[in-house]
Amino acid sequence: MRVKVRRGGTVEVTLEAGEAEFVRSIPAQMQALYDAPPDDPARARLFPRAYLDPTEDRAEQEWEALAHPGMVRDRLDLHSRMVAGLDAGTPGRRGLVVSLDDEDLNAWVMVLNEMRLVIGSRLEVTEDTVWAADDLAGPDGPAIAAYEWLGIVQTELVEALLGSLPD
Amino acid sequence: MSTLSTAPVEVELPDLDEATLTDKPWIVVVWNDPVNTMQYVVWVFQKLFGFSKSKATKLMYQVHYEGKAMVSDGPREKCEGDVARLHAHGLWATMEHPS
Repeated sequence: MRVKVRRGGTVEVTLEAGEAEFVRSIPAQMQALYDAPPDDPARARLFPRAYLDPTEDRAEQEWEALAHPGMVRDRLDLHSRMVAGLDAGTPGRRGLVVSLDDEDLNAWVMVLNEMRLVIGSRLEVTEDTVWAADDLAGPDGPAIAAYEWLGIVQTELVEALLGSLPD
Repeated sequence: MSTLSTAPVEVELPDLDEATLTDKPWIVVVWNDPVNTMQYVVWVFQKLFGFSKSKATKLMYQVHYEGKAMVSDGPREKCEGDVARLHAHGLWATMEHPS
């Protein structure tokens, strides 16, 4: 994926076929996870507790009941915006060219981050995780590659967003 | 003229917990996690709380090196809102009374 910041603030992203396909697949994977049982670790990572104190369990339940539906709705809106961006892309020499304004960038950054969190959870990533060639060649290979790709892309998009914020 | 009952009357007081009565403040804590990137965390702090890049970066480093940082405070409802917004951005945040 190539990221080019244009004058005026829009960002032009060029995705190769496999990359576009992967990004397109993210909303369905995320939505399946929202419906997963609450004890699924990846799902739990997306919807953590607000209160650690067990004496606040009642407040926790009330907050979850109130906040959760909106959180899911907001995430679905971000998915829609990301897919709309892909749909509006035009084929170029190097791949699909997608033009993103600040709101699109916001959506892409958040959705890609969420996907990275999920893969990170499935791979049980820790602060000390280092992958070797054997890992990349093994069954976790595709997930590791996706995780790394998401990290690189997200960093570039965040740079573009940070550039538009005041110091 | 009204007649008063001599039997004791039970008055039910509303269930006010100590926190509501004393309006104890809450703080929002963001915890370190191994997945979120540093730049992403800085961006989230700037976006959600309007911090300068310098303050957002300082807080991010605090999260990274000390394991956690306080990012906001206030009444319960405000903090619950902040926690929800942080979770929506994939950060792990919780709220507690300051010790």
